[in-house]
Amino acid sequence: MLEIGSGELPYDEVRKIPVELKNILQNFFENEAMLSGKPAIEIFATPRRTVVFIKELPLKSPDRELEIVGPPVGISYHGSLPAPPLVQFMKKNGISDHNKIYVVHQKKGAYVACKKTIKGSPIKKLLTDNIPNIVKRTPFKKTMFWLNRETRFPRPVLWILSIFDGKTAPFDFGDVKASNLTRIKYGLSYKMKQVKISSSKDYFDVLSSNGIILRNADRKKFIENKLETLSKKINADIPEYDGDFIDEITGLTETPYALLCEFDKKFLSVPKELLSVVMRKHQRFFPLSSDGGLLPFFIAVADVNPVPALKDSLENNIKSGYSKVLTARLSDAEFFFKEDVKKRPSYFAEETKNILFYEGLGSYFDKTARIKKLGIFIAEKLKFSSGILNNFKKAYGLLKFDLATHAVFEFPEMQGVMGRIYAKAAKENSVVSLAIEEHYYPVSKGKKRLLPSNDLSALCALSDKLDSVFSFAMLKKLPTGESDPFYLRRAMIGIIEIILEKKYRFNISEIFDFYFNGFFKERNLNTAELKKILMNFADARFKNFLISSGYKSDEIMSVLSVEMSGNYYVSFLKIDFLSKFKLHEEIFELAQIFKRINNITYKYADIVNFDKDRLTAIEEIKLISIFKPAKKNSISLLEKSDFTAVMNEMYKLVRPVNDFFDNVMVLTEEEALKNSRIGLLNGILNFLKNFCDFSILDL
Amino acid sequence: MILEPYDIEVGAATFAPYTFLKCLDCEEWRAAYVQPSRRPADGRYGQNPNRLGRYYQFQVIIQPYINKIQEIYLDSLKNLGIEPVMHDVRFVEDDWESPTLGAWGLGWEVWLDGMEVTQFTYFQQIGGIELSKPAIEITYGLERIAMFLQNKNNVFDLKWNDFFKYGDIHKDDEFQFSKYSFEYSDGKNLFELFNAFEAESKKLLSFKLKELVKPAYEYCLKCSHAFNLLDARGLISVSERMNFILRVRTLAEGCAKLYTGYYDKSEIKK
Repeated sequence: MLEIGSGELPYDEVRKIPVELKNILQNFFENEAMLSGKPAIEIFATPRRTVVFIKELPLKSPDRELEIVGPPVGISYHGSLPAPPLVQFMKKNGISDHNKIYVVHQKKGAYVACKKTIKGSPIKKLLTDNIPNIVKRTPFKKTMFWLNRETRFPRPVLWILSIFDGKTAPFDFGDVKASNLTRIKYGLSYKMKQVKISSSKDYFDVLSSNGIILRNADRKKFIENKLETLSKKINADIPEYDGDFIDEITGLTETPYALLCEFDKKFLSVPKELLSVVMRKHQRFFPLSSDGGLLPFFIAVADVNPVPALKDSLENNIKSGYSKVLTARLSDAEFFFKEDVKKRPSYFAEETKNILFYEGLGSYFDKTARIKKLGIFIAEKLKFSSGILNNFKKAYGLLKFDLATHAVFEFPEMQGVMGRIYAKAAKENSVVSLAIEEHYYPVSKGKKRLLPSNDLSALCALSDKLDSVFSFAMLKKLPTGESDPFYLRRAMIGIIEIILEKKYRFNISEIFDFYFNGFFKERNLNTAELKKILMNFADARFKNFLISSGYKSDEIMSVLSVEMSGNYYVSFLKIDFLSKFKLHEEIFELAQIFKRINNITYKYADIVNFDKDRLTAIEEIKLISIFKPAKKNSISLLEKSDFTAVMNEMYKLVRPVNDFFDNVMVLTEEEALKNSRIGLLNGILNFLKNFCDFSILDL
Repeated sequence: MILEPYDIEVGAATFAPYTFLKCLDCEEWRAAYVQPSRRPADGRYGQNPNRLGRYYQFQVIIQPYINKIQEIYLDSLKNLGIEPVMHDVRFVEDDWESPTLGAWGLGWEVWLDGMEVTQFTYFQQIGGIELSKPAIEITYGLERIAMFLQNKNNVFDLKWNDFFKYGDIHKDDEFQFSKYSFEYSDGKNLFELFNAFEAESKKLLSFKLKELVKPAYEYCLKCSHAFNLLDARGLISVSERMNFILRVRTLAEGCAKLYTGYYDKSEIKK
């Protein structure tokens, strides 16, 4: 049993430590201690302690036989007797009888080798030697040092309890010596008292009798039960009940103690979204609602374990403290809200001229001007109704106005939401108001993924995100490593999600051309280069998104590798079709002829025309007579994305192509004839590429 | 050791050389002082019950680390009359960073029944220099704690003593300095002041003489205050902001390097 006591850990570490540490320990037991079985490891974490409990471990790691390779055979012997290199080798490995030496053959040649038995070592020693390293290797989010730079942990380590087989297993970690003592806050003391532990049972008893719930899942459950009981007391619901928020509270407590508290109902005139965010984000309180409206109550989870005699007065202290703090916060929110509604959205929209979007990309006001043009262009491409277009013309200028309001300045996470509320208060129509909030979508709320609910919102969201991605790409700020400081990966994935969900058919590359024809012209950009970078970026997001939705890489790449314009919805339909029909005979045979053609013509990709009069062999005439109508028929079928029918048209070519190859020699001496044959084949290949590159499919 | 407040405008007690420079020594240093701190942008004309453009911090700085510091801190609350057992005292993750000082550390906000009363930081880096021995900084928000003890909702209602309230002493200050910072301060003069302070600090640093590091650092502080005044007046755009912060940080880092003998070492290397 190992317990690392520390200063209060961040909740995120508390949540992740059990998983990470368990992996590392399992790895250690398997690869370093070489245990044959996997010991059952339990890990618990609270803000104050990280606990590892392994119920059963062998006392010793098993003996192992190792093969040790020595010098090359060539230099190891004088006749049949060991030469100096081998003598050295035997000496080093404690072997006296050279008959125990044998020869192994490796890539570089033959070497002498011997077997050596590595004695197992006591697990206790292995553990005490290695625990500091294991802690060092744990991938915490952020660590600090407190004594010297060598000893790191997310917060200072205060004590370590380490017991193996009933006895202390000592080791040092920085300034702390591992012992058989834990630390607990007892009843009336706020100080941590040392408690001697003799067994795991003893440990668990001591902790639980002091109200500490070690296991994250149990603590979460406990909190959830309390939330339910307390909210039921006043017949309230917990709005936007979300697991992440409860995980956060779970990570902030080891002796959770939930309390039902009140605040002044005069604050209910402030929008509930703003009240909720103050309660949840800033104070970590649970708002309560009933019939969709907030109640002047909230639930807070303290981290105390009161003795019965003091329970009431402690509860009163905490409740009145919480209410007071919340009142101060809500007064601020109320003040900002009341100030904001004194002015019209158009006033704030004007103010966004003073808010920089990014150095070199102008203000948010400038951004909305670009959004306007982009939106109108996309609306035309998608043949949106004039009703949507008219609403868009009202909406684009309001998308960012709330950034200039007090409420969003103070609570940046309220962007969009406050915009909707203020626009509605200023009698803007509800679709336009909603678009202000939804143009930030897709967003994840709890386990739900929210997408723009209508075409207007989607249009606003696409235009805003495309502007961000294009303009930052222009500044060469697309993310390359892990970090995504301008949220561009998120924006691009958002664009793709919207396109797929709304079944929008347009080419990103066309939008790109429109954008850089209209904006930033004075910068003399190398747009061809930029477009390549951008399309790669977009393709990569599209691919990742589909892979995470269960599509296979070969299906995706067979389509993406021939789709250059970023028409992602159509690409998606093809990929979806392939994923369902990949194993059908037709696809298999199409892939065969695709490869057959490609093998011959890949050197001559630029020859795409042929002289029909030169192609007189019967197989050639037959092939052309089938290819032409198939190609013609497919145009409208492709437009309709009727891929079954497209596949059937393409399939008609299978036989004639095979007959052609079986009977006609493509690469003849006669140059003009050869070129015509290649031209015909390339024509067919390009036709097939309207669907996909069949050769990439993993069949 | 109990020290008196530092006599130059600072945004927080960390800026006082008792913390900024002394912690770079990485030796034994345990000091405490009240530090009046100025944040012009937080001024509210004395109208907001919780926000002030000038307020008091009680700064405790300890180097090197002591293992029981959290308990000692709780003792200090008890000595102030706040019985920790009778409240929900929480150490909530809050990683502190001062971009103008090139300083950062990990630590907590201490919440007393939900109210933040103290900032608790283990400094890892100051003036761009990683400390060999981290320092512990405990910054008590004096007004917050006093409001808690006196059970007041408005800072200006705090009793300073039996005869005066906090408001009697400071409300008019808040009003006048809000007027000044938000309405009357002269941008042109302030920019000039910023440049002049920066130039003086740079000049002093350019001699690379250790005996001039404290004056150089004082001008860095004056620069920082001029920046805060410009910021409060809304004269620094978002894009320029980072640039100004970097200019102050360059001075702070220059002072830290000079103070820690960085230039001596680089001379030896040559």
